[in-house]
Amino acid sequence: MTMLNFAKKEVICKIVYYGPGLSGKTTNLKFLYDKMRSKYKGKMIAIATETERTLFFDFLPINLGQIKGFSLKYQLYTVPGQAMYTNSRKLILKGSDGIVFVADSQITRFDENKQSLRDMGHNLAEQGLDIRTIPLVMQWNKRDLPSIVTVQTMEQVLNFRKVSSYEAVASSGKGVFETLKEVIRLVYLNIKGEE
Amino acid sequence: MKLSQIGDKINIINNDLQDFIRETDASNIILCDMGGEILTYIGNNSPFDFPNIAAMAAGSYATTKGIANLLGQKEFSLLFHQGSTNNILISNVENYAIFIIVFDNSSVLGIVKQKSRDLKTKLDVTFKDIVKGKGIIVKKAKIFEEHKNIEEKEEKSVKKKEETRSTKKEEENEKESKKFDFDSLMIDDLDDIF
Amino acid sequence: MLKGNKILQPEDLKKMNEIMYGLKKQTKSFIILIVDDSGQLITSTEGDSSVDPILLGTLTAGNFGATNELARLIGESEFTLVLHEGNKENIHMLAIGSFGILVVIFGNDAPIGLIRMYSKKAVKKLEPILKGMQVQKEKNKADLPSDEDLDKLFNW
Repeated sequence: MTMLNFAKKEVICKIVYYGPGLSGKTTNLKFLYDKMRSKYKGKMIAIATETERTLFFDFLPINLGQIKGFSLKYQLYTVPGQAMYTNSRKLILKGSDGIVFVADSQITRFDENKQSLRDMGHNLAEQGLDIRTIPLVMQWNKRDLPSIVTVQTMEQVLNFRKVSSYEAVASSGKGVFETLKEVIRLVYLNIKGEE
Repeated sequence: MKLSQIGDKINIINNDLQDFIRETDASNIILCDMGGEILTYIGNNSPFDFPNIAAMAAGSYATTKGIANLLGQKEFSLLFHQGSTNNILISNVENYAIFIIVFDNSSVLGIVKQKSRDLKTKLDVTFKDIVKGKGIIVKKAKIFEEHKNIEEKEEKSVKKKEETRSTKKEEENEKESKKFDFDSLMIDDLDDIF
Repeated sequence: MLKGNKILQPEDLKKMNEIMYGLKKQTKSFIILIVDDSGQLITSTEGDSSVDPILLGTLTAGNFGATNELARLIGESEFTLVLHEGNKENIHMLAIGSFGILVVIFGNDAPIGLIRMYSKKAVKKLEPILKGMQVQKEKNKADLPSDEDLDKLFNW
């Protein structure tokens, strides 16, 4: 839900990192948090279990400076990937302006990506949002691991909208920044009105 | 704490939960780990979706804990949610587990609260016993992790720069720093892309 | 021009702040926040205090969302009272229609009845303002993909 705050001269957008359990959503945010300069980022929250699995969400606010006299702020969220947290995922999607779908490239995890994508479509609809039109970027994560599905197959099966996609190794940061940049661009295009 | 760690002691726990239900007339009590995975539950047959209730309660507890941390409180020891017929009370037992009590208006709130405190104490004793007996180390749940800004110094200098309206030269210097190049995200540049 | 789904005008913020600070005075509470339904902080009595209002807003909105979901799961349409009892501070949260949440953090010596009464009054005044911020019409349910549509979409 993009909020245009004329009082504080701010535009605030919400981006949600979605995907199956252990696909690397939190790792994306942590990398961004670690590498971003202080002036662009706020404090990060990770709500996780003792085994460091996300149990509700992670949150990282970023500030990208001025545009047309407004400061442009993005709030990055992740959802918990484990099946049991389906209601939490639905909650986090509320009012989102853009989605990064973080897929796990490992062959053994491939079907979980499909389930998660479908779950996302359903949960978005419950929040009045449409998976067919919402700004979306795909990330093929864990490309450094052995036994992974080819990018071609990932594209064919998962990239149903033929949106921008990025190969990534979130643990080392590969592709993380590119993914964020693209989703920021898409969300921005969406809020940029007629000149 | 996980079910596998609790072992036979689950019988003692179940007895305590049973007593609680008898004494308070609550409809149900669910015990789950800090992540919302159910350990056990007691109460009358109900159509409620316990796994989902436990998962949401864990989220509710975790965010409450986060709020407490922000406010400099140790914790909020009691969460009470009142609906029109059914009520929910959520409480933690240290970092071992969370219990969720579902009760309707036939239960007396004061009694539910009092007995829930007693139950908390009993369960704590049992969990401590398990930990001691088996030498289990219960890792503290990372319920709220506020990443501190490591680069406070940098932040201060950046603030100063902002105050004096950063000149182009300074921006160039920033770009040259070994940090991750996040300046390419700056809106001026984004505008160029469009 | 930039476009948003919600627009906050300076005069609306001024009105909300007046209500918020009025409530703070009436209830002698510590902190008050107004958060929108997606977790974004709209305004708070915390200017530059040590408590980060954005984080507090996100956490309280998450907490409130979880609570409402819990309510739904036990067959309640919503919880009328959300009370978190701490050692020093308590939190009272109220839905502002379907548009946002009013969060009141108060001490142990404040009478809860009073907090509830004044908060309720404040919510009544806040609701039309928050409603007025919405500029995007609700999406027609029929336009959203059904589970069948999703099946066709993915075609696995």
